[in-house]
Amino acid sequence: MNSVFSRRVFLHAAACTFILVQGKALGTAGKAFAATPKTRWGLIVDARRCANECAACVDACVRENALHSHDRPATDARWIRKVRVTDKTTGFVSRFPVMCQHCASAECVRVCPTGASYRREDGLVLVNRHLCIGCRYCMLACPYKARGFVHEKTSKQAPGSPRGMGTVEACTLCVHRIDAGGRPACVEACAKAGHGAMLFGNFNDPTDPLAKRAVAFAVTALRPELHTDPGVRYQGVTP
Amino acid sequence: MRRLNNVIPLVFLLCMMFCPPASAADAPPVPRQKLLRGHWSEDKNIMRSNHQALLKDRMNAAYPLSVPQRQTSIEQCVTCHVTRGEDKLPVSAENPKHFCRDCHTGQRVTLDCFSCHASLPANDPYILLPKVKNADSLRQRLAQYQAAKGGKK
Repeated sequence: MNSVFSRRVFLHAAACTFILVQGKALGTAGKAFAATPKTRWGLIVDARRCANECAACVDACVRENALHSHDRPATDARWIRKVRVTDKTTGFVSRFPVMCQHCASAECVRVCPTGASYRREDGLVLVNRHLCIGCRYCMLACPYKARGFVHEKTSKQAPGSPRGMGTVEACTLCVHRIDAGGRPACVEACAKAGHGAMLFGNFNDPTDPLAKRAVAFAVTALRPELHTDPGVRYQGVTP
Repeated sequence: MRRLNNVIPLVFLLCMMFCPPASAADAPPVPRQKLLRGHWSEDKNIMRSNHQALLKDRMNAAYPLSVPQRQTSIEQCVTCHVTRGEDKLPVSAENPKHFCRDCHTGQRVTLDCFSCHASLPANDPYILLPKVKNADSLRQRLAQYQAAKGGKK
C-alpha cells in the first residue's frame, strides 16, 4: 500500500504547517506590543515635599478618571488617598499619597481566579474589566488597600479610563497618558501646585531622572517585609 | 514514484503556508481583513452584522499587553460616529438618537459597552463644536477631520 498521502506524511506536514503558522502569528503580534520589559514605569514620592493640606493629586486623579461623587464622601471611589503615618517610638509624622504600588510580585495578580488582574511587561498592574467577575479576592490580597469595587452604575466615564459596576478598579498610573507619551495626572498636578513631590519615570533606564534618584538616595518601599517589589517608592518615610 | 511521494507533502506544506486557512475563507460574514480606517469594509451591511466581532478582536488585541491603538478603539468609534442633539452637541448613549443606541433599540439588543466605556467623544475637541454638522458618510467625516487638522495648523 503505497498511497501518496500516508498517515505519517500527512501528520508531519500538518505539524510543520502548524508550527510555521504559529511562529508567523507570534512574530507579527510581538511587533505590535508597545509595553516592553525594557521599561519599568514607576514613581518616587518625596513625603518631605508633600504639603500638609494639599490634595492636588487626589483631585487631579478624580478629574482625569471621572471618579464622580455620589455625595457620600466616605464611600466615593478614590484611586489615590493621602495618609498620615506616625512613628510610635520617635513621634515622626509623615504624610504622603498611597495608590496602587504596581508591584513586581503582585498578590492581586496571583489570587485572581479569572486572570483579570494582570501585570503588563512595562510593570503596570491593571484590571481587565472584560474578565473581572467582581469577586474582590484581589482587594483582600492587596497589602496596600489600593483597590476598590464599583458598587453603582457609572455614567460620564472618561474615554481613557473605562469603569463599570461590578468590577474592581485601581490606579492605572494613567496608562492612557503613558501610552500617549505623557505622565500621570497626579504627577502633573503636584508639579503644577509647586510641590514637585512626585517623580515619574522608568526604573530600567539609567539616564532617567527617576532611576538616577533611586540609585543616589534611599528610596523605600511601603511594607518592605512583604517583598512585593513595588514600582512606587517613597522618600522621607520610615519603613 | 518514491520521489513524487517526497515532493507532494512539500507542495502541500507550501500551499498551506501561502494560502489563507480554509475556515476563514468559508466564513464570508466576518471578513477579518486589514482594517480600513478602523473598518473591515466600507459596506454598511457588513459592518452592521459584524461590528461585534470587530470589537471583540480589538478587545482581545488590547489584552493582556495593552497596546496603544486608539485609532481602532471604541473611543474612536464614538468619535467618528457622533450624533448631535437639538442643541447641536454630541449626545451620549442615554439618548435614543445615539448612533449605537438607535440601531440597538430597533433590534432589541442590549447595549452593554457603555456601562463601562464612554459614549461621548472627548479627545477630539473639533467634534465637540456645535457648528459641525453630522457627517453622512465615513468619507465626509474624514474630510471634516482632515480639514479641522489643517485648520489648526
